[in-house]
Amino acid sequence: MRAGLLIRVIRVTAASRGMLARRMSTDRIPASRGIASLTDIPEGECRHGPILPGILGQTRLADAGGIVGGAVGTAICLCLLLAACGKSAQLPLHVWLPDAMEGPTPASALIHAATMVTAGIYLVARSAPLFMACPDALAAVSIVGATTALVAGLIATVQNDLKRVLAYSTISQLGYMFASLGTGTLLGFTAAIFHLVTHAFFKALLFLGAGSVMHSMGGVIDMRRFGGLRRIMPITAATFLVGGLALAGVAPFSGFFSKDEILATLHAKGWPNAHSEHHDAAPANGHAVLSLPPTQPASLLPLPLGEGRGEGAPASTLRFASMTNASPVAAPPAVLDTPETFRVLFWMSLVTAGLTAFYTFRAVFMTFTGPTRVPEEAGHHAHESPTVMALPLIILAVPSAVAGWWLFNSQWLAHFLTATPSFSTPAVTATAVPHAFHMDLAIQGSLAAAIGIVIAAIGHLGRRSDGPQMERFLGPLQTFFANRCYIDQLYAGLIVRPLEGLALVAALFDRFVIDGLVNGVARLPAALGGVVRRLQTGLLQRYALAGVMGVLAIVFVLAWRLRG
Amino acid sequence: MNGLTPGMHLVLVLVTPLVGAVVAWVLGSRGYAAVRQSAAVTALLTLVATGWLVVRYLASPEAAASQPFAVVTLPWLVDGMFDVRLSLGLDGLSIWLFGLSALLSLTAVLVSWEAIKERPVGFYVLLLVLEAAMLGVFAARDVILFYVCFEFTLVPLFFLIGIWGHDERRKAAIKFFLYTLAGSVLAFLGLLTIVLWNASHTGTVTFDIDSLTAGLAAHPLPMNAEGGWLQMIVFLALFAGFAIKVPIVPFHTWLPLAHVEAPTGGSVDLAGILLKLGIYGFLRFSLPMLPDATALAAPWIFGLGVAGIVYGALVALVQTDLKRLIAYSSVSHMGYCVMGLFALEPVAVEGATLQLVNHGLSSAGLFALVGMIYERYHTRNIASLGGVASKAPWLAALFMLFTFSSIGLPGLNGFVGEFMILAGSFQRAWGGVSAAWRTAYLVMACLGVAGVVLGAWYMLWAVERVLFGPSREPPKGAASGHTHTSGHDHSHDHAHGGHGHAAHAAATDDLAWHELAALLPLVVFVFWIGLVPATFLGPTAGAVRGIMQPSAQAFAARMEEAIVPPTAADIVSLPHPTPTR
Repeated sequence: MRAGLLIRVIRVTAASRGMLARRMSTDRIPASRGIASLTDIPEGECRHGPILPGILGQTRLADAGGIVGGAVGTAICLCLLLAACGKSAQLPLHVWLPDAMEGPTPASALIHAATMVTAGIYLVARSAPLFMACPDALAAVSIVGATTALVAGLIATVQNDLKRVLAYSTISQLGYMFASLGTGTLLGFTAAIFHLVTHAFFKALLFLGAGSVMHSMGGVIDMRRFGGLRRIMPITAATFLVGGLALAGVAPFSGFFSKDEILATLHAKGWPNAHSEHHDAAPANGHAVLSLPPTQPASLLPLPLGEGRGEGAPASTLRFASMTNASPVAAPPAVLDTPETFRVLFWMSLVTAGLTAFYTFRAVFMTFTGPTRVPEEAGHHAHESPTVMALPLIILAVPSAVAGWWLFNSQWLAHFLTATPSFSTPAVTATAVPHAFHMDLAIQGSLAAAIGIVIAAIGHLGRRSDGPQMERFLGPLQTFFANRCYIDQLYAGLIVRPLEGLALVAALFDRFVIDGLVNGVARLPAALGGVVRRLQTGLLQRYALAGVMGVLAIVFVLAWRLRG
Repeated sequence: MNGLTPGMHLVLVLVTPLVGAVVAWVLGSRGYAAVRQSAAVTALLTLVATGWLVVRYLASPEAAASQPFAVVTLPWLVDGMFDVRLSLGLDGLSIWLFGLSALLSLTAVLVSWEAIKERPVGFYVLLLVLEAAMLGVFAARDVILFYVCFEFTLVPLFFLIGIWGHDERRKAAIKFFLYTLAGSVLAFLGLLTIVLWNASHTGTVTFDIDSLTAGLAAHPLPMNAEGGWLQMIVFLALFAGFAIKVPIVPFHTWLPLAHVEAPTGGSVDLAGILLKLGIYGFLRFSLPMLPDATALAAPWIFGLGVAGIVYGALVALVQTDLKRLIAYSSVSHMGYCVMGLFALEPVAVEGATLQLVNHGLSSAGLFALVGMIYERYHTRNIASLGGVASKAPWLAALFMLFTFSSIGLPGLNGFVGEFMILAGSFQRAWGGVSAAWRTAYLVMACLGVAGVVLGAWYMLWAVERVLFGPSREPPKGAASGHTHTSGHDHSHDHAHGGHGHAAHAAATDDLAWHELAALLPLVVFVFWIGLVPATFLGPTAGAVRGIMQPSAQAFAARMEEAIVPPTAADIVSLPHPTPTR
């Protein structure tokens, strides 16, 4: 609990730290009112000239081209990524999200599935032009995302708490979105937002379904304690199945299309040549700024700064855009941003797709198939939830089923996004590729999903959910995943305990050393007084003696001095 | 209101609490109800008059020109040689702290409403005298007047802690008094040196702060071996007084003790206003008058500020007493003010000035709320509290709000100050120090950011344990008889004058009207500063920049020989062509 709190704290702070970096990075343009809007300083009144210069270094400020990039740009992007990791529950800052699922189910559905946790995705997507200037940071986004997707997927396979399965699934799916964002292509950005939208539908549906089960089971959410619920609550079962199919990425449910786009964009970065042959278009990989034609006229900037503010678009984004556009820079060779990296990430994502299907259908089979069992908490009146709970499930099931197909076919979302300030910058639009359906990738993705579902069916379809489960074949790995890879313990051991120990030492130091010194100094006069007090004996003879001695001493000294 | 000149208005504000104190004293025979009512009316009148004065200041041409406003100068001790004047006025630096003093004084009276029933006359008289002294410090434009008010804040608080405090109140009062007095005597010696140095060059012994600033700018104190490093010595003398007052770690140990033992009203004034006097003193005297010494010491004091942030937060983390925890959080948060001040960067210093007000609001609110919890549960031990939110949701909600304000949640006041301080510190670290200092500055600035995490940790953890979880009641014995065996002169919650235990709040009661009235004005400003900081920063900016300019220039000069702008190697950015258009 304490560790969880700390993580939440870190998350909050990381977010504000990211914000700090973001603000600083934007304040070099004289027209900006970043800090100035806080202080109402007239422009040019600062010591250095323009508002808040110098934070990113004098060189960049002196630089007429004004580009964000290099190590500083990467640092900014990594800070933003850290903030996004905290907000969107990515490794290693993900541990708060499963704990937060203790909240009421509708809150989980609304906040954790759909809106709040996607703020990190939004942050990175909004900062796309800045990230485009820092390819290594982009690759880091992908690496974090794909790793999170895989690890969270593995953890989800052994959870027995239905809501926890969904929580880890959320983390995993957010990882997908990050992986997609990190490819740094227009397709990658739009695919991430696409998946964000479809995920919001089916994850909200699944959470509400879990809530419906929980309501019916008298608050029990441990999947080992109930089973065969499709006979008791058919609407919940059917809609949950729809959500599960969408989450697993089974065609033609919505998750299939968005996941397909993510796999496609990762594939394109991993195998750039194959991709360009496939599309017969400009290579989509690599650093977007590099691929910008050098004669790109500056008038292609999306909007002048002033207008951007007027239209409610964040001016900072536009400034990033103008910076990245204005001067193409020969960036140092990328360390992380290589096709090899993205090949690995692609395979990781494909495996994750299989895992997703497995844990989703494991949950579906454990909950809704097998002999009908209800826990004693549910009493004898376990029943389908009332209309007020069932209706939202039905409503959500519709977009979960068809939204992906519709959005993919019409490309409405992609077109809309391409026109937004962040994605309409030349750096991003230069990476555009024609809209296409990737049959080969669709087959690979569907195959992975099918394997996952089949394995889940072998292990759980129609069986009692409280029996020995197939996860026991994982051996020690099961314990490892069931304990969430010991990341909570790692935090406790590496951060919380040492800091608490340090705090205790500091408190003791404060009490005994600092305050002890103060008290010691305070006792000094008393001690001195104690010494002097001994002279005050009260014996008249002694005073007289002292007086005589004093007079003698004076006489002696005078005599000595008068002698010469 | 044509008749009332700003100067008379200011005098009126300063005199009101004193008149109120006399009234409260006269009404003493009518029982505590009359006394507290008169005190509340006085505080309210003062607040209204102050608020009006602040509004007049904002609308005045002086504010726009960063000139002192409402200047009153009366001869006090003026003969051939001496020129001590009762010189009053407000400027951008003092205006908000002046207003905050009036605001928190009302809070202090209202939070004592039920808590202080023993010897109420003395309590409220002292509270009002304290208010007058606090207002006087910020209005003083004369060294002697400043110092008199500065010291006179100690006396009422000494008695407030010593008489109406908790178990160890006598020890706490004596420690608080002696420690801060020891420092401020040194500070007074430093101020006298400044006055005499100025006199030796101009011929008149003036105590006027503006004249002194101008005089020292013309004839700076020597900052070299021939001059005996006099400027540094004076700086250290002032530092002794102001650093203890802030308090800067490691001179802080009087603070937790004083807070824990003080009655709630005293804590509110102590945390809200008295801690601000140190930073205010630095701004008023050290930065403009002793720029070279400030520039020399700035990196080290900056470091002390950062150390205070982290150290205070760590110590706060393991406290078991809720009030002591908040006291250490004050140490930590004042570290931000120190950090921002000695970053000597305009944004940071403005942030520090704003953070004084922010911390005044949030810590006063938190101390007031701890007092309210204590009145209900008769304990401040975090382990024996729990589930307050289920019993007193309003109390819990306000506690959460002030906690968020304290940890700097965006949208609330704390964020603005902390952000400006940290932004300015990073700016100083990157572009304003020599290469030798840059790494150290960057590390310190990053530690300052880390302090935000620690701050959120201990505050939220405390909130979690106290407000949420299973509801805990204090042990019965403690609740009924009162926590003390030596009950004869302790004051808290002690029924007095025919008012039985029914009179004081039961554990299940939510906030009473006077408690809400004490806190809601603070809430308004928590949001106001958080959402529209320009209202508060605008009037301050000019004054603060003028004050810090000598030191910032001296600092830049010190660093100049060593400053090398970050090279291309620092940001690994290859040369790039100008864009083709």
